[in-house]
Amino acid sequence: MTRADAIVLALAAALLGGLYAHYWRAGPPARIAEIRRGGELVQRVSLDHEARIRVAGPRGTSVLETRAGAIRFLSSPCPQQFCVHSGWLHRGGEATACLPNHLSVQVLGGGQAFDAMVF
Amino acid sequence: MELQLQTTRDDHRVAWLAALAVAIHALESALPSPLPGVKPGLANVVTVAVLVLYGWRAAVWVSLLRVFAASLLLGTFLSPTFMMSLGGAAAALAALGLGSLLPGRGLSALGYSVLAAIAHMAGQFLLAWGLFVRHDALFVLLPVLMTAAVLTGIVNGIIAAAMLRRLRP
Repeated sequence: MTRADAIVLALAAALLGGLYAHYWRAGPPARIAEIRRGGELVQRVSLDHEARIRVAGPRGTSVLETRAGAIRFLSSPCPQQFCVHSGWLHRGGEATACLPNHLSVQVLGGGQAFDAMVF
Repeated sequence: MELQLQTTRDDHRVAWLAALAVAIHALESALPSPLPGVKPGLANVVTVAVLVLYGWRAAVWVSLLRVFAASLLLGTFLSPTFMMSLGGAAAALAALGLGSLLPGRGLSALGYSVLAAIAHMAGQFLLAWGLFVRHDALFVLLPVLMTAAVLTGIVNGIIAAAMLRRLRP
């Protein structure tokens, strides 16, 4: 291994560190969540207190739970429960959805992660 | 009328090495890939060895012949896969060209391999982003892809160095 090789390896390590630091950073804290049914805004929730929100969809009623700085699906009438299993959303830009019930939740606190959701 | 092509010893050498690279590439394509765009890239061992033994121009010939011949062999000629392969090869060769200009002892097989791997991945990623998936979320994949590039670059570089030690005792 020559000296130039060592420099290349050091630069490669620095490059990798920089890439992870830049692109894998967590988003800003969660302030507001937008709940959508079929893409249309149903409710905008401020994530500053504990609450339960019931949202009706074509398959039934989903229950969302909020606390300071986070929101999640508590229960939903869907067979695979992906929405519930995605757990608490607590950074801006995060999102989850119950596709069978046409519901989606987008957390805002900075930028939006997804441009559009189409059912 | 019979057509006689005048071939030189260099032509034979390039053809032989390109065939070796194509064979390695084709065999490797049988292996499953954990993530799209991640593969061992063992044929690059030939590219790096050719660069060290016979210079950059020979490496360019061997590399481009491999991209074209392997794509014809595997049925991906002129497909998006081919564009990505060609783009990655072009970026890697450009980086190797610059690397070979370094003064003094310069880079050995290991350094060339890592440099080429990084350039290859960067070139392919930008191509994929520009031509196919124009979404910023794609960049979340870049750290993982580049890690794979650096690791495979190191492994291939070690293999090339071992190969060169046996060829030039």
